[in-house]
Amino acid sequence: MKRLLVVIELTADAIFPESVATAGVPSVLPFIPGRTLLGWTASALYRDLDDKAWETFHSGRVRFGHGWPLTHSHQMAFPGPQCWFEKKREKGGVTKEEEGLTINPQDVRNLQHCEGFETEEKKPVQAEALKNIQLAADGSIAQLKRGYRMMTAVKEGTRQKENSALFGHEFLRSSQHFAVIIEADDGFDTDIWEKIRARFHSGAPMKLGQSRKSEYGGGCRYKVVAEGSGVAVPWDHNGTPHNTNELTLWCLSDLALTDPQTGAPVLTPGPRHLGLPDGELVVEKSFVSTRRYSLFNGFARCHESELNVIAAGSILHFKLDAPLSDDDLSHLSFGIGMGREMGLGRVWPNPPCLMGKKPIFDKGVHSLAIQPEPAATAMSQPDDWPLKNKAAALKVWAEAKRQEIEQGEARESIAKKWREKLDSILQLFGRLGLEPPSLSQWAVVRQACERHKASHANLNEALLGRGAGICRTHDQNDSERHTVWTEKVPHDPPSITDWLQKKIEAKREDTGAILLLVINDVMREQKQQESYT
Amino acid sequence: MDRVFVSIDTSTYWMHATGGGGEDYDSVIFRDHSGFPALKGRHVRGLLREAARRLESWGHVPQDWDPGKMGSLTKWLFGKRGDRLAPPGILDFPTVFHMPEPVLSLGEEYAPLFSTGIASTRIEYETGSAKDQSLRNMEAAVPGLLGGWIGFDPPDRLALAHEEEREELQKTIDEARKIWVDFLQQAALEVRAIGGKRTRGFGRCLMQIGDQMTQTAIEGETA
Repeated sequence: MKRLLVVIELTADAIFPESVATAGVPSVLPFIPGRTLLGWTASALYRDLDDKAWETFHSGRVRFGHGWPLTHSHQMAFPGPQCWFEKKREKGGVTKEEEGLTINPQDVRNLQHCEGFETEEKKPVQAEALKNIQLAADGSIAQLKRGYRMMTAVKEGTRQKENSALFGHEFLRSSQHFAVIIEADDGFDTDIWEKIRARFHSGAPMKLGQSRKSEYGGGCRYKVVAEGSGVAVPWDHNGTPHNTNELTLWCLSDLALTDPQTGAPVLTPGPRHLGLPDGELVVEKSFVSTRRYSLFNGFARCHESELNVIAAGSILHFKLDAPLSDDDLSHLSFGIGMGREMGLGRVWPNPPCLMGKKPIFDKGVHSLAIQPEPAATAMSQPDDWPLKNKAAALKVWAEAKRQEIEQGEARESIAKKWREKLDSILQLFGRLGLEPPSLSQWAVVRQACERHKASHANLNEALLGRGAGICRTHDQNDSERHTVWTEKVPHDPPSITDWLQKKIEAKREDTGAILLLVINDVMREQKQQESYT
Repeated sequence: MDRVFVSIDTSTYWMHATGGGGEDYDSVIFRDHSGFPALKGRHVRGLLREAARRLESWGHVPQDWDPGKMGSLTKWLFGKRGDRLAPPGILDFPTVFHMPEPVLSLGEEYAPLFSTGIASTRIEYETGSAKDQSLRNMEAAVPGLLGGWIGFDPPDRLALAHEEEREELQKTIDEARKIWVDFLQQAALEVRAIGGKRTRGFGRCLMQIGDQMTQTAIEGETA
């Protein structure tokens, strides 16, 4: 079988809705549907293939798989099997480790093989299914990032909101990685396969999902990471002992099975619907959910006929009349039912993790380590962009602004320390029955700091200068001044002037700015106290 | 696919709100995943569509385009409104118009610098004083630059068309391919502001559309 393993990274939010309903908020699929990749390939090749187009894009000989999300261990993650249950109240089926979420086998039971949980007294404990998980072969769980956004349409001409046009979208967030397997039968036309291969190697723009021309799905980065018949996939590994009559199928994608005689959809299939030897569906060991939807064909601009499918994550168990042969397993590896060309019908026969009462993970054997590339950066500008200098100036502005903020934060922390010393002086004023500087006195000092904050020498002169310094200790004729600023208390430094002098003598460039912060703070507090009294 | 680069140079605060509120603001702006203010592609598409429609109704359509025969150029480029089943328009808009790369390269911690709060209140007509409970604080982005690529990507209508229509359709698409950049460059000059509260002075901008670039010139980006 020819295979391509492609890793896709969403570089913009994308919508792949579960249904095409416009009412309510349709949930987003937890993977990239194969039909979108089929459409992307067909848009480039369909017209040139003429009569080969049907065989390529509709027959199921070429299969565009779903884009499965990657887990923290870089494994493809599939919809979790519905036969796994955890305790209803205690939970514990999923544990959070340092790297990400994983299944905790000790607290999960496979109800195909046992009745569930029991207490030590052998009493049954209520259990519930492990729902909505994306599970990889090594037990790791993909944590998909989803978002939700509401929007409305604006009426042309009036610029007002259009009536009945408020709608919401759930979407997959950008920068998430997905892995896709595209495969073709061995006998498929080599030239056409080469064209498909070339499409995925071309680097042509890829936009996927709804509303991709204006808001969502605005670009995917993709890269072929492996190709050829040697690309191993998890569903090729099965834990089947030879000559067994038991078959468990884990539906990795939706199954659209039809009755070969009537063509009607089948939701409780027998082995013959799968092209296997005679036998029967074991209902007690099967866990089936169904859904139905009608796909929208973006090319033909119309809805396609409705599909009734067995939902991904369902478990089907068969008891066959004849032992399961290698041919049967090989037959299943091509997918089953309709829509195989767009990723439907993918099953994992007898997956090792479902072979026991508790999940069994063999991390070494079944891993498919895919190393995604680092997340893409935003789209760059053209080299000859005329506004390049302006963009550089904007960067310089931001850096300067940031520096200013950082300096401001540093000043505030210094101001806090300075304030502590000043507070202890002012407290002693109170204890000794002295009158502290009034608001208007502080305002004069503040004004000087504001005016001379850029010049250290001027600030010194304005506050402490012998000529007209506001807080000076001596006049020009050396006579000592007695003001509130020079009032001495049993403290080191003993007065506000001494405290100011100490700060100014330290010769910091931003002394004025820090003093401003301190004085503002003192004045604010003093104002508050005055308003209380 | 041929593409052109659209630059939006804002000269006043701009508000491209999400419709939601936040801890500090009654209305918060839309941001990209790195946290910088950004503009949704559909908003730019709407502004350009409206400008293009105005130009067309004033008769400023390139001479080679025959509206009688080929139909509305705006509808060809932007698609038909309100008809989900109609073919999409030719133009391909990015999801988000981002700030320029030198700014984004600064990192997430610089993103808060590019927004600020704008408080406003309603003045009562009779008294001239502020109306009770009308004070709101809205987040706005600081003036700056935004950019993104618009592509010319005609939908494959030809394969669906009847044989006799095909030639005509091909001719129309070829004609649109020749004139779309000139037409959009004119339309961009008609866009005077972006975001919300455009009639209150917010989002004044100069939108410029660069010269056409072919895919080969920018292939390195998409690979």
